[in-house]
Amino acid sequence: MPDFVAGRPPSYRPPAGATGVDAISGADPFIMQADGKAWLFAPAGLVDGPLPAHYEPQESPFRNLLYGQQHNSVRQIIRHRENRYQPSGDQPGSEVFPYVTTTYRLTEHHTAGGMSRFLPYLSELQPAFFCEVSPQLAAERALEHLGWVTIITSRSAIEARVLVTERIRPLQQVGLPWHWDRTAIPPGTPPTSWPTSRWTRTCTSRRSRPWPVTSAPGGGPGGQPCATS
Amino acid sequence: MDIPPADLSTGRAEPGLDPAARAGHAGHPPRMGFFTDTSVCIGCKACEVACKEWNAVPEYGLSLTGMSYDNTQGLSASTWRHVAFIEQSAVTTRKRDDAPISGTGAEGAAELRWLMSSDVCKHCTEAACLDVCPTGALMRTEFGTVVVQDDVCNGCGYCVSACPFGVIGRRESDGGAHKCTLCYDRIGDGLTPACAQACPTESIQFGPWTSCGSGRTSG
Repeated sequence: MPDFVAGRPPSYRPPAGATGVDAISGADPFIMQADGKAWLFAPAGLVDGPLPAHYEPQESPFRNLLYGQQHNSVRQIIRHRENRYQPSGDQPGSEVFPYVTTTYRLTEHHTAGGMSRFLPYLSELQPAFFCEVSPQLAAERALEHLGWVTIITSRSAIEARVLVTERIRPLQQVGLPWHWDRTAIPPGTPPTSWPTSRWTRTCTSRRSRPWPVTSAPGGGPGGQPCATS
Repeated sequence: MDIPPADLSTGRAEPGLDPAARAGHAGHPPRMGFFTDTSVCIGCKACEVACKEWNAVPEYGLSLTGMSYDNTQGLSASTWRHVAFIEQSAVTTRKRDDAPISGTGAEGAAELRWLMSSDVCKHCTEAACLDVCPTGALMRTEFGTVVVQDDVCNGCGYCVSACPFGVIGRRESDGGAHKCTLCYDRIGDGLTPACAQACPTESIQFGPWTSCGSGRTSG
């Protein structure tokens, strides 16, 4: 084996002045590291951690209850006039967008919907963009089952049909399937039109969910768009 | 009415349950049917899509119904498989450790169950649609299934009001009555119907009628 001397027992201890593979004891299993030992810190590449702490997402309306610092201090923020961030936690104004959204897929459509929302056989199974809310949230915001709602962030607003369901438990979140756009049969609005752009540093993945929103009843074709309340 | 037990050794139903023989098919193959296990249905609607693809059934209605995830609503001339979704909440009367999707699991908490089931033509032993058809378009096949002959059907619609399950309907585009054929063109070649073939959990099972239903649950 290239990384370990075959036949070397776990009781082997390197003599003084040993170099190379001979300097690694028989009980050091981390063969990907030069000294065979586990490392918590790295000389390059790791900008976050290594020990996990809980941070709240960028726009989380909740204060970080587990850790004194609200956000990950090495998160990458993209400042742009089209990418305004909402206040988070205890910051003033965070109560303006009190509801959290979550996005998910439906069985009937495929990934982001780009290949399935034009197909009549699949579109008739889930024909319209909708959001799912708990009965408690619907009562709080005057939302009607199968009615329209305008979902608003600091960046944009979208309109969706409402499905009131007990499957959404009261965290006060808005569930959004994300398969539709203007070219779908029938046309809908993608919830991806208003995410924020924010990236984690270590793995460079987009970490913009969950998005706090507020809502206003009404909207849709012919409806009056509503301002934030 | 007592239903006599099936003769499992020959795979043939008792005479009262052998409609193919009564229709005049001598030496017919075993009666075939569906057994649907709704406890494993995951509501994927693969059965609906596979049926439409194989039988070239047209798309029928792009409307958000709000009936949970069921936007198909029911069986019709252009919907031969329909998956129903029922969100059922029941208040628990005793503390349960295995309660699914319950709030706290405590007594009195609402327990939510999401039930899914795939509906289809039953190909009845005593088929009302077949009995009332004035043209003979509806016929009994050698497999014991009920099939509409599209070139004979005159679109009168007697079958629509006769079916107690609301399965068959008239299609506006051609005026004729259409319904599930139990993939007559597939089972005739030894294949399984499109819906049973597509079902990922084997909720829809297809086979000799004597091994479905009561034959299966009692054995």
